Order: sequence, then structure tokens, then C-alpha cells
Amino acid sequence: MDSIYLLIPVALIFTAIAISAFFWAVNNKQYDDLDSEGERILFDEPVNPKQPSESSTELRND
Amino acid sequence: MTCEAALPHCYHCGLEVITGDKFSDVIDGARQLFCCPACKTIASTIIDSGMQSFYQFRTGAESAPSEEILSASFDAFDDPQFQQQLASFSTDNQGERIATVNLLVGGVHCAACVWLLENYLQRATGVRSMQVSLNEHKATLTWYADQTRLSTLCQLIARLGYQPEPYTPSKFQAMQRRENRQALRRLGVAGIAMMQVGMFAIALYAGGMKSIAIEYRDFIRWVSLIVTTPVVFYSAVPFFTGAWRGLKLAKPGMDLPVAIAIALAYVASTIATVSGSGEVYFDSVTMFTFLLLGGRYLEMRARHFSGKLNANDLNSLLPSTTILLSNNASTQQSVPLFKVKPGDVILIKAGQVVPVDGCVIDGSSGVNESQLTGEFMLQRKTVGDHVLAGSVNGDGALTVRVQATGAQLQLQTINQLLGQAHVQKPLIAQWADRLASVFVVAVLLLSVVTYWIWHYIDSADAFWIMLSVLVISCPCALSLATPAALAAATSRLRRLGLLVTRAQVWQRMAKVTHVVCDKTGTLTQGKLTIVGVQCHGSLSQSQCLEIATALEMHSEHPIASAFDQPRVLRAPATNVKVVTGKGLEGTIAGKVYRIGTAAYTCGLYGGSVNALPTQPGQRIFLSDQHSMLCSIELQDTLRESAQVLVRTLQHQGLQVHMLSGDSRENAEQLSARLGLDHCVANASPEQKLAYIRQLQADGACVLMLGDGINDIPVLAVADVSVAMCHASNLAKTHADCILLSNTLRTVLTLFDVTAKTRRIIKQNLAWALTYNTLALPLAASAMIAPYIAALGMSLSSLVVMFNALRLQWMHVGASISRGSHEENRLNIAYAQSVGEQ
Repeated sequence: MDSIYLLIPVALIFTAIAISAFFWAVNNKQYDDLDSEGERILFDEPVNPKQPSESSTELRND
Repeated sequence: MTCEAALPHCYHCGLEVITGDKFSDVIDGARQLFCCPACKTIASTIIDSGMQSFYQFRTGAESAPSEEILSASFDAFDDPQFQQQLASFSTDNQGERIATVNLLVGGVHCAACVWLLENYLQRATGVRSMQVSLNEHKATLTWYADQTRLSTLCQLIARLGYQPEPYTPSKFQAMQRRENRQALRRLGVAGIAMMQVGMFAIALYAGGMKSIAIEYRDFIRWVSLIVTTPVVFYSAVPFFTGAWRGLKLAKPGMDLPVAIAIALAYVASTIATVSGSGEVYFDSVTMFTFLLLGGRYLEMRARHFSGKLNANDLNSLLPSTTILLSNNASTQQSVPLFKVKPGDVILIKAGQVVPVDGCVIDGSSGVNESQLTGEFMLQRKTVGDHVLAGSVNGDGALTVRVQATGAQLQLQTINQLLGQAHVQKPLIAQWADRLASVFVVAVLLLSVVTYWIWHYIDSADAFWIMLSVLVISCPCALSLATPAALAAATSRLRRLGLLVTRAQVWQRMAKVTHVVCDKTGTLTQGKLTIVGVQCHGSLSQSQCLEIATALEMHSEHPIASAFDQPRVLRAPATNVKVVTGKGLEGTIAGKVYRIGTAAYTCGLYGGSVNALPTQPGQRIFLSDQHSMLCSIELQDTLRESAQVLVRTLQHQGLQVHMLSGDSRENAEQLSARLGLDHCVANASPEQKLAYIRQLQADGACVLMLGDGINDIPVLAVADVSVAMCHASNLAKTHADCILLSNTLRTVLTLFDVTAKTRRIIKQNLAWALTYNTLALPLAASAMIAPYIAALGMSLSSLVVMFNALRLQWMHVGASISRGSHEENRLNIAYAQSVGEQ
């Protein structure tokens, strides 16, 4: 039973770490946008990447 | 109006393709059709850059782009003065000049849009980083100032079909962000602490039954005290400040009993821990704080949602740049709007929003003033007429001499009206709050009496008995009763398509006696449709409509939208001429046709207007070179569920009125068709406001349904206000509820859910009061084991929570299904009456 004198303080340290991690996340905008981040992973990396050029601004009616 | 074989949908915007395969492209090996060259250009831009997965993952189709966007020039964005205001400049460690700007990007609606914009822009030359926030529709763009220009980058954004605009961060938004983060931190601390203390509490409860050794018990109590302390002194701060504010104003609200409960339970537990006697209630303190904070956080998010876009800024309606004409209109220059001064001459192209109040000095065009007046038919403006900022230029270019800008705009008067409306909004104190406050005062008195009595019987135990009276009677369940039910109802309504943003809705809904609706855009769709075709010549109805559709395709006029219905075109119109204010002329299969006003169409075959039979309603005519072919009657379409809404509300004993800025004839016709109780036409925003005030003065409780800018003051003054989903952002921020689904039937759901919510609240309050009144005498007579009291306190809160959660799966709306039968019947009757004409 004496082990609680060690285990509970250890649990408290973990609690403190969890809270500081949570604060860090909130302060670093991690919770500002809860909608788009979750879906970001679903997108593939672009295939055959090509630099957007500035010449094709006009409408193409071909 | 026959709907022939189903038409293909545009690959980009999802509209039906009526142009055949004129615009098509091969994508992923399959041939895809587009509705217009703009959509095709955007799609090829996206595909060419290898981002086709955008189409796979987006939710909902894009809005159809206008060609304006694709060819728009952003030269004004390069203006040094303009950039000074918006962008911040710095130098990176290689000595390169970098600039950062925040842009408001119109048209961003799902995570796929965010992905597309970020990836596309990040690969452009000179871009350092691009980040898009879906919540705020905001893009943060950082670029190397020497490598590229902002106008070029904005053009790239526009080429994807999004509308970039300078983003002016309001103080309001910064405040919201701070508030959001603060609330999250408080919630997080309370949540993590609750889990810890909960585990310790189980040990204590188990130990209480199995007689734990005192040293272990005290150790666990001390640890619980340490973990609970930040919850009380950090997470629960809003309750203490709220209670203090309430006391100072002599209006104790819900915060007072909550603060007293938290403080007392904490103090009592701390005394018990230090002295090694009595009972601790740390688990109740943390759980109670967490649950209440959770409810408040949800409420706050709903509130923020409605104020996302430049909430208090009417100017967000106006474009940020305009075309300035100088040297007698010989030079055109794109300038930022804030540089325009009264006396300047500007050019407003067709389809653009008028940025200033001014006087037309050249050109003629139909202008849509619906944002200001609610009247959506185009108003004809020619030389000498005044145009107002916020209206939309319809079909022709206008040269305008500027008379007023900024704070002097007519548009700002709406703001002033709004200020008035807010000040005079009737305030009804929340009765649950009052009840809890009264209860707290009663309990405080009772505990003093208990202490006094026990002091004579057994003075050593008197203090502990008094404390247990205070803690047991802690109005936790009582204070949770209302917020728990409201949180559950809010989330239920949100899933049903209605967002509640202000808490007073719940109690005011019960008192509503009058429902007042705006006409255009609320009861009707604000869009014309064809209701009848009278043929005068040899051609059949469908042939006439086919010709009309081919011609109207070339027009941007609101009337043209009536011809949007899918119809297969055999022959496209060529050589189409648009005659502003009169109509269109074009050649189809070698024959010349005209569509438009009676006089204009008669002109083609040389007939006389008087020779036409007179017919009621709003009509346009179609003629060829020999004779008049037909006349087409147009009408604003009624929303499908408008009739059900009116009937059901009247059935429930409510009065339904209509306020419209539209002409008397149109308004009264609609009012008679819907069987409304009263109808006011030609109403200005001031008159609308006065009408609602009058109703309220006569003792009515008014629910207002509206959408336009001109409805904003009435939305603010009405007891309960509901904004339509397409309403302007400003209207949404001032409404109590926002319809997210596009059907009026959801308003009936609001009535139903609020009634159920009030019932749940009453049950909760009854339960909490019963628990407290039963526990009190037991505690006062020292007959209850303290740990059972603590357990009872937590359990009574849980009972209240679960009862509230029932709202999530309760069956909603028997009255609604009854309504839909009614609607079908009426629709059939209406279709028949149209057919007979």
C-alpha cells in the first residue's frame, strides 16, 4: 500500500505534463480550426506537379 | 414546361449543362462536360496542376463562377499605400524582402478548397507560404516582395474560382479568438483534473466502506486538494466574476449559486482535509465545474459561428477596389476604394457592386437594390439618377460621379437603426436563474438556523452539520438543469438544420403570438419562374420556350434566371444583341427573334402594342419578323414549404403577418394566396421597425423571419428572430437563430423542440428541487452519512444530465408530417389552377 506514496506523485507529474501540453497546443493555434485539419490527411499529394504559370490568364474556349 | 431527359451536370459547379457538349474536356480518361467556359477554365487549371483529388474530396459543389472573376484585375492591390495598410514587410536571413498579407477568400467552403488553395499557391513563383483557415475564410499569404507581385498571386487565386479580398481584422474577431482559447484552456484544466480527482474519489469511497487507514485517506485527500485547487482558482473564475458582477448590479443570476456551491464545497473539503475530519467533496467540485464549462463552451461556439465574417462591418459588402476615370474618361485606373473621394468619376461595370453613393453621369443600366430595399426587380438608372452603395449593377456600364463614401453612405443609416433596436430590446430575466437565487438565499438562512439550533444541542458538531447542510443542498443539479437541457437542444436543432445563437430564444418561443415574415427571399425564393405561356402565333408552347431560352442564355438580367430550367436546345442563338431595358434580339436557325417588352418586340414586325390582348401579371413577349409569337407570365416562386408553415402556425393559433418592401400588388397577391392575417407592402426599414414596435406595444411577442440587409433592424428588435440560410452575414449576426437548411419547415421544428426543451427543463428543476428538499431535513437533523451525501450530490447531477440528453433522440414534429400531406394537396391544387389559366 505504501507504493501509492510513489505512484500518486508520479501520476501528478503526468497530469502536469498533460496540462502543459494542452496549453501549448491551444496557444499554438492547434484548436483554432477544428474542421479542416481532420480531412487534410485524405488528400493525395498532387500528381505531375506543374508550376502555375502566369501566362494562361485568359479564358480558353477551345 | 416539360422536363425532357435528365441533363448532365457540370463537372465543376454541378449545374445542369444546357449547352450540349460545347464545353468539354477529358479528365482522368473520361469526357466531362461543363456549363460555361469559366467552369472549364477553372477545372483545367486545377487538373493541369495535378490536383484532381480536389473533385474527389470536396463536399458540395462550387458556386458557379462568373467570368468576371477570371478576368478580374487586381492591379489596385499593388498600390503602395494600399499595401501599407494591409501587408507587413520584413526581411528573412538571406536578405530577401518578404511580405505577409491576410486575405478574405470568398467561396471557400470545405477542407478540399483549403487544400487546393494552399497547394496551388505554394507552388507559384515567389510564394513563401500560404495558409487558409476554413473557419474564418482567411488566407495568410507570405511572398518574396521582389520576386512577384500581390496582384499576380491574387489572380492565381481568382483563377481557381475564389474571390480574394483584403482582410481587415476587426477587434471583435481578435476578441473572439482570445475568448475561445481562454475557454478551451479552462475546460482542459477542469477536464484533466476531473479525471484525476475522480480516480482518487473511487479510492476514498471504497475506503469509506472498507475502513481505510487514516494516513492513506489523508494522503489521498491532500492530493485531491492539490489537483482541485487549479480548477477552483483558474477554471471556475468566470463563475466567480459573474457572481460578483451580479451582486454589484443587485441582479444575482445563475452564476451566484454556482459560485457559492463551488466555493462552499471547496472550503468545506479543505477544512476537512486540514483537520482530518468531516468529509471531502473534491470530485463533485471538479465534475460540476467541468460540466458547466462544457455547456458554456458549446454555447460560445454557436455564438461565434454566427459572427465569423466581419460581423459588425457593413463595408464588407462593398468591393475593395474600383475603376477611377480621369482626364475626361480617357484613362482608366484600378484604385483602392478608400482613395476615392466625393467628386471623382468612377466606372461601374455590369455585375459589379456599387461602391459609393453617387449620381449617374453616363450610361444606363438596371440596378438591383434588393440589399437595401428588399425589392429584387431591377431599378432602371439613367443619367441624373442616384445609385446607392451596396446595390448591384445589373446589365450595363455606368459612369458615376461620387457623392458620398465611407461613413456618409446611405448604407450606414441601417447601422444607426440597428443601434437603436439593440438598446430597446426588451429584457426578460431568466426565471430559472431567479429560482436558483431565491433557493440559495433560503438555504443560507436555513443553514444559519441549523447552526443556531445545533449550537444549543451539541455545540461541537454544529459547524460540521451546518457545512453538510450547505454542501448537500448545493444547487448543482438545480444549476445544471437548464444549461444541460439547452446544450442538448442546441445540438439537436443544429443537426435538424437550425442554429440557435442566443439563449433567450428558449423561453421567448413559448410566448410567441405573432410570426412576421419578410416576403422576397423568405416566403419566396427571390427568383422568377415561368407560370404561364400564352401562344399567339403558330408555334407551340415548347417551341416558344425553346427559342426564349436560347435567347435568354445570353442575358444576365434576373428575368433570364427564369429560363434556367433544363431544356435541350436544338439550335443556339447567334448574333445576340442586348438592348438595355428593352430585351434581346438574336438569330436562331436563320430567323430573327426578339424577346422583351411589348413595345420592343412589336417593333420587329411593325405591329402596335395596342393590338395585343391585355393580360394580368408580369409578362415578357417573344416575336419574330412576322408576328407576335407568345407572351410569358413570370412570377416570384413561393418556397415549397411556405404554405405549410403558414397553415401550421395558424392552426396553432398564431397570427402570421408579412412585411415587404415590394409593391402593393405583388405583396397582396401573395398574401391572399397564402391566407396571411395581415400584409404590409412598400415598407421601408424604418416602417418595418415601427410596425414590429407597434405590435410589441400592443402586447404581442413577435417572431421575425427575414434575410436582407433591410431586415436587420427588425431582426434585432423582434423577440425572436430567424435569418434564412442565404441571408447576408450581417443579418445572420443579428438574428437569434439561423436556418442552415433551406426549408421553412425547420421553423416549425424550432417551435416543437423549444416546447420539448422547456418540458425537460421543468422535469429537471422538479427533480433537483425534490432531491434538495428531501436531503435538506435529513442533513439538518444529522441523519445522513456524509459520503452518501456526496455521492447523492454527484448522482443527482448525472440524472439531470441524462434527462437532458433525451432531447437528442426524442421524436420531433408530429405536426410536421401532418403538414406535408397538406402541402402536397395544396401544391396539386395550385398546379391545377395554373393549368386552367
